[in-house]
Amino acid sequence: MTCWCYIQSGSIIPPWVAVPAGNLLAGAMQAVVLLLNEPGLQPLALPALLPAGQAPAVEFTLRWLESSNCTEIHLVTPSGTDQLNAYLKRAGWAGGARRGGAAVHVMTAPGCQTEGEALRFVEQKDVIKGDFVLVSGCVVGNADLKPVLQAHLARRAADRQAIMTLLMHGGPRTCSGAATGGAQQQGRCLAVIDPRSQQLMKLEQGGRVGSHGVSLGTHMLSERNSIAVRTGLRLSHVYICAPDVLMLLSDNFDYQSMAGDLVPGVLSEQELGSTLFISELARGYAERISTLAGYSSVVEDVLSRWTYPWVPDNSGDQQDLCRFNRGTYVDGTAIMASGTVVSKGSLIGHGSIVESGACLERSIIGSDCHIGRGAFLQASCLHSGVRVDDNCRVSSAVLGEQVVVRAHARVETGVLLAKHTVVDTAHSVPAGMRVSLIQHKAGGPGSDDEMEWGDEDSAQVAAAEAAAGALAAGGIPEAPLDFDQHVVGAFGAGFAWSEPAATALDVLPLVLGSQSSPSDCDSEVEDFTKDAQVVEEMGDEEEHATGADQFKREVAETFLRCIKERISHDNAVIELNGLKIAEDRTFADCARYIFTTMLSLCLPASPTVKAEYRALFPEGQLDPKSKEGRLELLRRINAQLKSWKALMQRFLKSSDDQVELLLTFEEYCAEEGDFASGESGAVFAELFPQVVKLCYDQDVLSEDSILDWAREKEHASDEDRHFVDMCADLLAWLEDAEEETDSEEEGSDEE
Amino acid sequence: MSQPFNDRVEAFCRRLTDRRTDGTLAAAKGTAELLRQLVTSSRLNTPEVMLAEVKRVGLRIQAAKPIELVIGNIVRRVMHIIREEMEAEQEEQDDDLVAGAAGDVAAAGAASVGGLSRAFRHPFAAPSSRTLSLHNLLDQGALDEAADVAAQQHQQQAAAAAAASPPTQHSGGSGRRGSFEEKERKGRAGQWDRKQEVIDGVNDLIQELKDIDDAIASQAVEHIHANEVVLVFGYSRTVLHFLRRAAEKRNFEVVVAEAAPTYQGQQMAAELAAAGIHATLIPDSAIFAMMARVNKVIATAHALLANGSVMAPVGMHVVAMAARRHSVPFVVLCGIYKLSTLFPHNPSVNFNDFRDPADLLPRDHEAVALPRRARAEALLRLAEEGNEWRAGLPSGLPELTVANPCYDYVPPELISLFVTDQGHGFMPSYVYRQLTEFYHRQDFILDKQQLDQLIG
Repeated sequence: MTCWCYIQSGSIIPPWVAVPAGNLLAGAMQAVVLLLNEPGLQPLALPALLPAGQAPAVEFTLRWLESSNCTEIHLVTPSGTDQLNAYLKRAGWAGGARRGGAAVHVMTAPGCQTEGEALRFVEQKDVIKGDFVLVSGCVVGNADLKPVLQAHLARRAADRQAIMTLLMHGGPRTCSGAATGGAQQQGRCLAVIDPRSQQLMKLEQGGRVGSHGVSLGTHMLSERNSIAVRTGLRLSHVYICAPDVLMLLSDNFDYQSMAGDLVPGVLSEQELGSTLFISELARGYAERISTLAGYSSVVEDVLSRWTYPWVPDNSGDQQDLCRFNRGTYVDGTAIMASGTVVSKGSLIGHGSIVESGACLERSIIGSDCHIGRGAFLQASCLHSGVRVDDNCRVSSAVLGEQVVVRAHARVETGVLLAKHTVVDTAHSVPAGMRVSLIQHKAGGPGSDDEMEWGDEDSAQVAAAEAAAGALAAGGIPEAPLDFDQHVVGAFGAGFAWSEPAATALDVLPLVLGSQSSPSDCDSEVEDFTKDAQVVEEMGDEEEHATGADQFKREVAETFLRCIKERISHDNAVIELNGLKIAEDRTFADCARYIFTTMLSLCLPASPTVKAEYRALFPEGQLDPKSKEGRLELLRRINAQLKSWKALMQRFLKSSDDQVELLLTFEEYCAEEGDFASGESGAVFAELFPQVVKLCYDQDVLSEDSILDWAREKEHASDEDRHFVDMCADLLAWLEDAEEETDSEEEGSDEE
Repeated sequence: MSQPFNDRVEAFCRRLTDRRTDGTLAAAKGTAELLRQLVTSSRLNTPEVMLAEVKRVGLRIQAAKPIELVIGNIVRRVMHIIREEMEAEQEEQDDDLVAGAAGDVAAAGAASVGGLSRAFRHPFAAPSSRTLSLHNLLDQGALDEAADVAAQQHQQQAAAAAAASPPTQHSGGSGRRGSFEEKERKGRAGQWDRKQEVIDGVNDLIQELKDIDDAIASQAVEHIHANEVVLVFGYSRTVLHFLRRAAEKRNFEVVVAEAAPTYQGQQMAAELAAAGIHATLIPDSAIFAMMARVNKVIATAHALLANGSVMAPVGMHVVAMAARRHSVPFVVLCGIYKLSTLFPHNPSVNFNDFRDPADLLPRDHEAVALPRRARAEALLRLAEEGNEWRAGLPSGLPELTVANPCYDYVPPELISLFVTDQGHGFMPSYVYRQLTEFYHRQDFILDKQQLDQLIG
């Protein structure tokens, strides 16, 4: 696609006019790679320069694009241009020692946060002359783009309005319905396409795609006989665009993300006639590095050769002597003492030294690292120049350049140590911690995302680095800094970037999210009970113990009967409402007993349950102490919540009701009050925060009410605060999320 | 070297590394064409500079894809061509010298050293440029000495004659001790006058590569007999050519193994069938059972190693073993350009190319995702347990490695015959002899430093 040649030769043909197909097939394309800051990877360096295997991630992207006939590649980055340029020069992509092949240009787009802004910037620079490949984020891939490009160009030649092709990953091949890993589960989207032409008609993405159903306009079927609704597709963040896309983005300056704004925008403006298509990757790799989990998953894939031919032992470099042998990569210049244990999926980089007794389990060691005697590394990624001293243990962590972990220290799961940080002797860095020499400013989210810092900051950073250097060498810094000692130890260097971001909570819903069956779209329980709800709560709170007990049993029984006889939601609501009115109870009262019954449904039937309902309860005892047991339990709770959330929502209208529910749940878990006898609520006590999180995820509880509940308990005794304390992580997270949504609406699109 | 040339070399290297050139022949052709361009360059005035440059560029290309041994072979071939021209030039000059400087020099040399072979040899013939053999083994040092003596005498004479004629390299091929000024003088004098011969030699090499399939196929009729059943494995352009040629004269049957995971055997069967040859497609797993009915296996190779073994597409070892078990001749079709001077135990040979596991299993397959998820969960659990550190992940976690090797090693004892483009078949035991015919001893190992590093 060298339309721009026409322009240069003074032709008056506008650049976006498609050239004849004959030219297209042989021609080459331009490419734009948007290397925006990834909040999920801070405070690590630029995502593009993170090493995946031996080479930085951007090298993979460039090689891939070059192999796909892209001859001109523009990298757009808001910061770190110098580092990027330095690398490109070193690797022969730009500058004096440039090898043949693709020409790479770096564009600095200061302050760009979103795809939309970056592309508008590109449009202003006026470098894109024809159809181009847009890669959003640092995508490591080896999928063959050539056929996709050809198909796109052929389509464009036939129809100028076919402005974009979205590259998508197909769904999982097995139908077991299990999740395919956290990183992959993200970004699953729902797409409505024309099965014949692959034209895209609707695209929905986000956390809970499809759970609310999807409405298809009849216009979709006006021109075709069949449409396909696909749920397993996943965006690869690679788009093949016509220049019209840039113009569209300039015209609609509020478009921020491609899939979130541009695609729905184009699809909703049918009358303009622009059409979008998807192309499903039959095979080949294309994964973006945007989160820590995504990063480690890509690194693992590189080492298991899914990105072939771009694997560590095939750099094509004369100096590079990395050899692949029985699942491990060892550089020819690395020194390994006898008695080191290196498991499959490990890499030891250029000039690194591993001393005897060290054990590497699926770990990647960059160049010039030093691993001390008896050190134990597990599923970790060490960048260049890291020193891990004797008997340290590092588990599932990422250690940036020049990090020093001193003897007997521990780095726990999910920790991220940015460059030059030091962990003190025998200190243990708590799980999920992110540590950096740069102090994280708790200012607006705008400044959060900037890795650039001003003059006074750079002086501060220099001071921190000097101090860290002294500490790393075992000395005392001349100008002691107030490092976060609980994070890195008394003689460590580093500030906590963020408190442990509740990794457990982050991961669990992902694991559980897989259970979503596509059938639970039955949230259409409207209107029917509206009048019933107008009958408001007569809330006199006094309850007789016996009365309460009876009401509880009644509710439970009604609820179980509804399940057993498959009574529809609407009717269940009516029945329960009737009960409520008869007993003169509040909505919250109903909700709390429904909720506890629901929870009990996750466990085998207790002896008090009537025989006729026993079938509803799951068989087999769970072991709530074991991990499997707990996961299984959570899974069941999630399923229950999913099927009954509509019902719950009916009875949890106000925030007070929801707080009431939480209090009930506490009672239930502590086996006190109404639930003192015969209930096995204690089982759920350990899962309290997870269950609350699930409720929040299913919109049963709102974040306000959870926070209200916490506030209510603020001055309670320690014993009373037990569950609130358990939820500390969740609460912190909710508070954060609240601030974020308040200040920035964009956040969710970028995730 | 000039920038455009370097760019072209780098672009070719990138193509090799990124696996965008397909097949050994393409790699060989590309290398040969780059080297032709190199030797035609006007800067390479002396054979020494030319050799050094060819070696440097050759090593660069080889590094881009170490598994592709033919690159090194082509480089050695080109170096061999240059060395041969140097020798020829040497001999010519020696002849002139002998004619001019009369017998005293020769007599001096002859008087100082003895040796049977010298009686039959020219006294100035460069000893080490000849193949080392029993005939000249003992003469080696002595002849060098003789050459030195002769050279000194000659130099004195030459000085006396005030350098009327341009002096030549006269210290024998082994030392290349031609003095600096002489080289300088030669440079000023202009191009090496044998450059054209070298270029012609490289052109011949390129032509050889172009005609390779035809040259091999021309012997087809000698090897395939009427009504034979031939087994082939996977797709090979050479084998296809060979069988097509045989089919012009003979009537025979071909059994094609499909060669997982590329399944190119399917294409092979289709093309054979299209060419009117009776083809039968079988899965790889049926090779052994089928072997009882087969009269001959026609195989192909990625590289032919110095001990007579071959590096072949993965699966070939199984075929060779089955053939041996049933005493079926295992014939390898192999252009001589694939003949490598390296032994399989050489560290720069002894490895495989592990390709994309996606050929075997899609990445989103449950079997791939499950171990990863299980590990993540185990790690989480470890984190939750806090201080209870264990020595690593618990055992018994799901674990899956998908390996997709590309090459097989077939030992020489399983190979019955090599059929090359040189017009005659030979046994594996004869390979060492072929080596000395096509390569110069000094070039057998190109990059000593790298080799040392690899061993070290």
